[in-house]
Parts: sequence; C-alpha cells; structure tokens
Amino acid sequence: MSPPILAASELVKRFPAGRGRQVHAVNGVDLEIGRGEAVGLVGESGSGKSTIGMLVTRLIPLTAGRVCFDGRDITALPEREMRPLRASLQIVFQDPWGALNPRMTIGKALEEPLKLHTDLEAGARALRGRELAERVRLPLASLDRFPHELSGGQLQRVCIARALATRPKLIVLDEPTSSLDLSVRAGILQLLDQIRRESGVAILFISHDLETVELVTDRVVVLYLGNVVEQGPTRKLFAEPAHPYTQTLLSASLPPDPDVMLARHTAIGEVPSPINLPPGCAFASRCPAAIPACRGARPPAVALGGQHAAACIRIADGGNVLSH
Amino acid sequence: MSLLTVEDLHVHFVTRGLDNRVRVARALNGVSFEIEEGEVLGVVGETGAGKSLTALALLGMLRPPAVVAAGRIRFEGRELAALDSGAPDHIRGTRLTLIPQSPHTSLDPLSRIGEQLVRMQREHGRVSRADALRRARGMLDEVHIPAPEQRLKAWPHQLSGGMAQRVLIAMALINRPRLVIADEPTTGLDVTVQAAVLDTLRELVRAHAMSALIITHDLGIVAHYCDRVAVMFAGSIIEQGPTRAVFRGQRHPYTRALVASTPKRIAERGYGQVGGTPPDLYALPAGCLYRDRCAMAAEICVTTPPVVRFEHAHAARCHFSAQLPPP
Amino acid sequence: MSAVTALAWPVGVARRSPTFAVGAALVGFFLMLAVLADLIAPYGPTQAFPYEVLKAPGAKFLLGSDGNGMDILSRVIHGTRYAFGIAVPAGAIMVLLGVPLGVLAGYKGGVLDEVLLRILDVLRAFPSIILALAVVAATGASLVNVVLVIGFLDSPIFARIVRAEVLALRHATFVRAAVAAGNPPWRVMAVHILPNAILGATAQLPMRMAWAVRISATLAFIGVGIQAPAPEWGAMIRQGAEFVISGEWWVATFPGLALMALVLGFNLLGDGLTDILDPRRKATGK
Repeated sequence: MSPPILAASELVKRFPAGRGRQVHAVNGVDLEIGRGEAVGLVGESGSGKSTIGMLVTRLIPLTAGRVCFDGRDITALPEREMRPLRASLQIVFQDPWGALNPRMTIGKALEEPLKLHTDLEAGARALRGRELAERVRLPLASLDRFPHELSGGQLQRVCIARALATRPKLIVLDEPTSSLDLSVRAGILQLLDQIRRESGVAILFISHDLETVELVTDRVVVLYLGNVVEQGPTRKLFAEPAHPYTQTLLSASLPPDPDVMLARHTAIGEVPSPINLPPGCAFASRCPAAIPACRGARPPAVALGGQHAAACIRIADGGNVLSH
Repeated sequence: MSLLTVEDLHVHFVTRGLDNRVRVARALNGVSFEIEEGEVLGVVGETGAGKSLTALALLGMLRPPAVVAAGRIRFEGRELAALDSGAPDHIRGTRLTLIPQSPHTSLDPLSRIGEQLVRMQREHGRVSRADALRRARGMLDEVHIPAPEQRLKAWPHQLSGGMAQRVLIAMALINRPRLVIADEPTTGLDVTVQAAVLDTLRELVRAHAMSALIITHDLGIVAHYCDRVAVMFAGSIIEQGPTRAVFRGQRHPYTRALVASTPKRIAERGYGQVGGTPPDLYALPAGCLYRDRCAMAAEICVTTPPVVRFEHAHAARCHFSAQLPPP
Repeated sequence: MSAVTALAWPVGVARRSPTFAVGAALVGFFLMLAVLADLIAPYGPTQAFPYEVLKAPGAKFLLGSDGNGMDILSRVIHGTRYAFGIAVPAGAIMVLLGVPLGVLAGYKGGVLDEVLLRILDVLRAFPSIILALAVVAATGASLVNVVLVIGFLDSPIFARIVRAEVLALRHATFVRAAVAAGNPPWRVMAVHILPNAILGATAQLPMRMAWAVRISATLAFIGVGIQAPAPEWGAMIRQGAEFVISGEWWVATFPGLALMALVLGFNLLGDGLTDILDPRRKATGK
C-alpha cells in the first residue's frame, strides 16, 4: 500500500486571547489521508476543523505536531522550499466572492498557478486556462470577466479550476458549498465527484453539513473542541455512530422529508469555552452518558473494527449508546 | 377571514447608475398568500427570491429605492402599507413582530438584555417598569434561558449565538403578537443549537396560539416545523400548499429541482440535472419567470402560467403542473 | 457611443457626486488655461509696460497691471503652469515613493513599519511649512527643488494612507489564497495587494496635490520659493501685498482668488472621488 498523501500527527494550535490567556483551538489531532481518498472533517463551531485545514496547508504556523505531505516532513520547512510544493497541495475556501482578486480577470486568475509553477509560455498558459474553464463547465466568455460579474456558483467553479491547474495531489476544501444556494451546491458537488473520478486527486472536505459529507467522502473524522472524537469509513460511521457526540450531531440534522420521524438526542447546556478547557473528555460537560471517570483523563481511541474508532470510555460497558 | 392576506404584491427597485440610466429591478412579482390563525407558514427560496423582502413589506419597512407597484396587505382585517411611512401604527411591534437574522447585529450592543426587553414593551404600550421587568424575566424563562434573573443584567456580547437568538425570540413574543415573522432564525447557529432553538419557537407559538411565518432556505426546517410552505423564485410564489403534500408531490419543476438537489436525494438517485444561474431581476423573461432554467420549457411558457389548483389548497404556477409525472 | 450616451456619463457622475463634478470642472478649467496659456493670454507672462504700472482693471488690462507694468490676467493664466508644474510632478513623487513604502510597511511590518511610523510622528509634530522652508532655503529656490521637497515631504503621508488599506487587505481571503497558491511575498504585494490598495488611496491624491499647490505658494510668499518675475501665484501675492494698503487691491487679489479656486477644486475632486468609489454606493436592495 502506498504511503498516505498527508500524515499529520499530534497537531496542536493555540491562539493568544489577550491577558495571557489562550484559545485551545486544536488539541492533539492525528489525521491521515490516503492517495485518492476523500476524507471529511466534521464539526460545529469551535471544533477546530478550519484551523486544521490551515495547519496542514502550512498557512498558519503549528504550535506543535508534525505534518508530512507526500512523504516529506513539511512541519518546519522554510516558506521558500514550501512554495514549489504548493503546486501539489491546494485549498479552496468557503467564500468564493472573497477568494479571488477583484482586480484580476478570471483568465489571469486561472493562469496564475501555471505562471508560478510551470515554464509554459503565455500562449500555452492561455490554452490551458481555457481547458480548465471547460473542465468546470464555465462559459469561455467568463475568462475576460472580473469576479464581481460572476455568480457565487460560477466563482466557486473558478476557485476549483484554479486549484486543479497544477494537477495537485491533495485539495483541501473548507466549507466549499456553505455560502452557496441549494440548487448551486449540487452542481459543485457533482463537479467534485467528476474530478475525483477523472484525476484521482485526494480531498480533505471540511464541513458542518453532515448530509453533504455523507455523500462526498470515503472516511469521516468527527471533531469536538479540537479533539478527534470518532473516525471511520463514512457508511459505517453514519450507520453506527459510537461516540455520544456523533450520535447527538447526527440526530440533530433535519432531513428534508416531513415523513421522517425525528429522534433527537439533546446535549446538555452550552459548549464550554475553548479558553478554559476542562480536563478529561471534552464532551463530558454535556454528555448524557457521562460518568465521573470521564472527567479524569483524555479518553483513548477505542478500535471498533473496520478502521472505525471512537474515543469514549463508555464503549466498554455499552453506555455510549444514547437512548431516546 | 384569514389572519393575514397578501394580494398580488409587486415591488420594484428603481435606481440610477453612473451612466445616468434608470434601472428597474423587479424584486417581487405578484406575491399572494394567506396565513390562518394558529398556522405556521414556511417561505422557502434561494438568494434573490424575495423572501426577506416580503417580510420587510409586511412589516412596512420598505424604503426608497423600493417602490410598491401594486398589491395589498391585510392583517386582522385592516389594510397595511408596505412602505415605511415613519408613523407608528401600533400593529408592528405588538401584534405583528419580527425575529431578525444575525442575533449579534440585531441586538443593541450598548444596552443590557433586560433593558432591551423592557424597552420593547414600553415603546408599544403603557406598562410600568416593574411590570415590564417582571414580564421580561418571565419571557426569558419561557425561551428556556437558564438563570434568567442574572441574564437580565447581561450584555449582548456575553451571550452565545444560541442564547442571543433566544433573546430575539423573547423580544418578538413579549407583546404577545398574533403573527411572528422569523427571518432565517437559525443562520449561523450550530446544528445542535439550531434544533433546540426551533423547538423552543414551536413550543411557544403553539402555547400562545400564534401564527408564524418562517423564512428559510433550509428544506429540513420547512419539513419539520411548518404546516404549509410557499416556494419562491424570482419574486414570485411558484408553489404553495400543505408541507406534506408539497414534499410528497412537487407540482412545479423548480420545487422538484430543489428537492432533488439535497444530498440525500442525490445519494438515492444521482445528480441528474442540477444548477442554474440566479435570475437577473433587471431582465426577467416574459411569461413564466422560470423558463430560462426549466427542463420542460416550451413555447407556451412565454405566456404567464396559470395557477393550477390541487387538493388540500395546494397550488402551483406552471403550464405543465397537472402533467408532471410523480416525483 | 452616440452623443446622447456620451453626455449621459457626465450627468450620471454629477448626480452621484455634485462635489466631484464641481471639483472636476474647476480643475479642468485651470488645466485648460495651463495648456492653452500661450493662445489665451493677451500678453506674455513677463511682458512689461513700464509706463502703465499699477493700472486698475480696465480695457487694456482686464485684471489690472502690477508694479512692473505686467498684465495680471496673463500672469495668472501662465501661473497655472507653475501650479500644475509643481502639483503633478510632486504628486508623481508622492505616489512613486509613498505607495511602495506603504505596501511594504503594511504587509511586512517590522523595522520598516516602525521607521515609517516614527517619521510620520515627527512630521505631524513639526509644522511642515517650517521644514519645507528650511530645506528650500538651504538648497536654493528652484522649481526642481520645490517639487522635490514637497514630493518627499508628502510621501510618508501618502504611504500612511496606503498602509492603512494594506493592513485591511492583509487578511482578505484572496490574499491568503495567493499565498496558498505559492506566490512569493513580492508577488503577493505587487499583484494582489497593491492594485487593491491603490483604489482607496487614489481619492487622497487630489487632496495632496491641493496641498502641494498651497505649500509652494506659501513658500513663494515668504520669499523662499519661486520668485518674481516668474508668474507664480504666491510670488504675485507677495508682490501685491505691498500695494494693498495703498489701494491697488487687484495685484494681490486675483492671484489669490485663482489659488483659492484651484485648491478648492482639487479638494472637491478628492472628496467627490471618495463618494464615487465608495463600494456601498450600490443602492439596489434584494
């Protein structure tokens, strides 16, 4: 089996919060993405999912941990050496309107990665730019337009095309459809699906929308307050969620079908502050299945077969399964 | 007689560009619907469909460059004006209220929560400070905010998103309105918080026999919290009816496309035909407003489609409504 | 474009910002005078009529004649060349020096930023006129020197404006995307930050040019800048100041009015530009 395209271990990120305090955004996360694999990173606000996206792409510095991309340790790589690697490691952001230079035409935006990472001349670049536009089903007339003239869906296609320009091995997508209208989202997801099948690129899909993640990914990692609480193959995790938080999260989503009965697990109270994290399991303060031992030490990951694992000490006695 | 009747509302935006040309955006094109007592209506649509604008019209908060080109609004039998006349009418804020989006920009950052709740009451009627404070505390309790006594003294920035949204609900309900409009009440909230907030809203609406109009782009919210649904596109209601009926059998190609674009449906049936550019309100097509995107568009679609009625007050505006195969 | 649509644009712009329209009209008027000076002016700028000294405004000298018998109207008209001859090159220096400085200071921060901020502190504390006076007195009062002094003095201020825009842009998603794409810092600054920062700074340029015109006139008035017989307005006012008490008011007044009008024009132009370029001007609702 080939080595993973991305292997991050013990990722930690703390942000200063004034007056000597710190926000513990990411607290010891391990993440691995195989070549051609689609991994989903799921969580609510404060889970650290976007921060992890920034960490593995080296857009913000790590507080601690290691990141290996394509077999190479990029944790402390000087930016000068990191730049050529960026041809293979791309990112698509949540806000398509803000992700493009308003004073640059679409065509120039698509050609920029080629300018930075290839020796192609102007003519060849323009040709490839047109190919990219066609690949994401963008009308060729858009190439001469400026971002403010395109719709959100079209802009996101541009961002995806831009990410594909240098044939990357891994694309990180940070909430790529959250800002878009419903009917536009499906188009983007279809595009991603097509691209994966055609090019075999690996993706890290960061999202809070469970249904989308279920559709798009092979494996899912569930985050809560900067910790991995559960991970596993998508189908298995969604069918048999082991961690109480995963169960709560899944039960809270509203399927667009009035005939489906809702069976809600309610978490108690509000999310604790990431500045003063309690010891032990991060979810203990809100977990309906919590026992005193949960507040002792951080729970280790428990293997559940088939590469599915969850970090909950109650799995042993079956108390992790929430009832209604 | 319905609690609220909106009849053929047309709203345009008239602006002048740097080139001195007048441009007209047809933002609402013949919106008509009714809300009965005790009913929850969901208004669903994408960006630019006109859902928030409809709410603003109901609240009389439209201002220039908005122009009401036609239409009437009747609430509790009385005519309401859609444009901001500046004069208080003792209806908005008391009998017809709003739960706005974005709790942290809708709350006054310089006033404590208790103060804002008291103000809400005293601006709309004669009530003593003591009584108003008492009712404020009671209201915070009703929206399930823990430790309401302390929360009265809290500042908005000290509240989490979910709690701030609950405060907005409290403010909208404290004067016991007949109809409350919730504009995207859970945008920006986490999934787990969203569910709890919506449950609270529903509980209170039922407890006080109110009606509600929930504006959202989320089909899941409509499916589980609304009795009836109105689907908007390009400033027009293209389908409306009881929630179950509409979800089971969509009678308009746009509604079908929306339902088909949810991940669950895609997982079941594949991607099919998806997407489409948003309509240009400055250059809407003649006849059916959806025809530029519609798979079924035919020659007849250059004429305005009729309202086709089905059972249970389910109706759709499409030449082919009756002939659509079951979804 | 037909005549009708061509006319529509000025009307549209004037509606959006009457301030801009008035400012543009004023500046445009004086610019036209500067360009067509040789054709329009009835006499040469230093053409003297020794027997018609200090004549009141009348048929021969529309705005009167000065202490040397030179036509004030012609001198005012030719004076526009000095005004623009200082404002435009000084403006160019401001931009060429100030913009890169502002972008570097804003984006990289660090030592460069600290130095810039300290220079600005000094300039703010010290009346710029005194500084200008000192430098020009030391180096000599030539057109070139005046232009250079003004340009250099104003660059840090322009840089500060650009820096402010850059500080906001640093956090823009597309800048992050540019870094993520593999752009080296110089390219992020040149291609992504600079073009977007300049927009906000552009509206300030006319204001700085107004200041340039004023400062050069002030220097000339004090006796340090351009001197007579050059038809520089400040120098003309200096000359005319002697005659105000004795009743020959026109010698100082007309160059003074011209100076005021042009400076006002530049300021209105800059103000109006801010209105027009303001992204919130889009009045279309949803």
